[in-house]
Amino acid sequence: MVFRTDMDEIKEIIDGCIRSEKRAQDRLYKKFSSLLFGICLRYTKNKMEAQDVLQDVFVKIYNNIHTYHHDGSFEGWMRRIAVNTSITNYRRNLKHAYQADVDDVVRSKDEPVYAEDLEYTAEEMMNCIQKLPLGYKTVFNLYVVEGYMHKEIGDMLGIDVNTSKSQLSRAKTYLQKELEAISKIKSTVR
Amino acid sequence: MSDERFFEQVKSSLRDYQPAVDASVYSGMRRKLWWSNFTKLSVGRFNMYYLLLLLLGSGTAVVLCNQSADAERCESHQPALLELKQPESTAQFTVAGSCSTADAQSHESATNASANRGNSYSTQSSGNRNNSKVDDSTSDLNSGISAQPIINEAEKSNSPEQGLTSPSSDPIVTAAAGETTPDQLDVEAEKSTKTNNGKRALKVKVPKDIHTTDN
Repeated sequence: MVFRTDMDEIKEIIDGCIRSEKRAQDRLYKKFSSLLFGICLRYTKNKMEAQDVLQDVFVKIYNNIHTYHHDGSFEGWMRRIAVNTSITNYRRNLKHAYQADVDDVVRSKDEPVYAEDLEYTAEEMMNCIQKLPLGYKTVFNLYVVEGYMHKEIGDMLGIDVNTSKSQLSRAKTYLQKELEAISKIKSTVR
Repeated sequence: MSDERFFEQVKSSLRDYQPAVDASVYSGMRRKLWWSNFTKLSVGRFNMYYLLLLLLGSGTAVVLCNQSADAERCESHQPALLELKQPESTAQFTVAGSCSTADAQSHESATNASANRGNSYSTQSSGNRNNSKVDDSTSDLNSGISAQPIINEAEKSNSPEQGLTSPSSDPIVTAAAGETTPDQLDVEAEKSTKTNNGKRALKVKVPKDIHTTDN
């Protein structure tokens, strides 16, 4: 009896997608669409835009899957495509997007409160991130979640390193305040 | 809580965040994929470049076919036109032939008349002769019968002896053909003055008691 591992399944899907088999493409979509949609949501203004970016991500994956050489994680490869597509979308919409000033978002200029045990779900965290201006959100995601350095972020977004740093700092302050408020509400309910 | 710890907390919560995707996204993605494949230059699959080539080829073929069809139509119609013209011209020729006989006769008489009259009347006589030709054709058209004898008589009446008026006189010519024809035809030929166009119009009055001659 032969057990098929996850890697074998992914390899089979990849080979099918290289041959442009619709069944393999569907399997790939079912397996990774939610994960990639989560990434797209973090970099876009709303759900509709995220869905649009997700479609572009899958089109890119299907069209470039022959360039994946099994030398790294396939999920990581797809994540990178999703992030790059989201950044491309961000740059494309940059001239049309309203860039709110950091003072519009951060309610107080006090030092951030470091609550030891903030209770929040991923959904609540996502809602808080969605409220951030697009530039701050992008910098925060690239630095915190994807692990890019400020220099890389500056190159990717076409901004100065210091701008990246300040945007990250203000985004962090805002998020901490928001999450603290959520935690307080939860504790009072109990 | 330090920054690093906060970031780690956020990262772990977001890393596995997998929201549900609407079903409509899949169909939209399929459409985008189709369009992407359609616009991509690829030899192995049908795309818009093949379609463009196909459209261009068919368009060129249609234009060429139309041109050749037009050319063929022109070629095929030309002999047909000739064939159609041929009987008409023959008919004209017959009419002209019948007229030409009369014309020849009138020409003879005109020559004789000019010989008699001299050079001063030659123009007028030829003018009358021409007019008689028109008279002939119009009478042919009107009645279709015995135009020749009438013309002949009219031509004969143009002789100086019959009182041919001078060029400056009234151009209306009355041909009293009844004096000379055996059938006692009374034909009045009225030649009108020049019209505004400078052309001459000719009126022929044919009495009701006109009889046709078989010969």
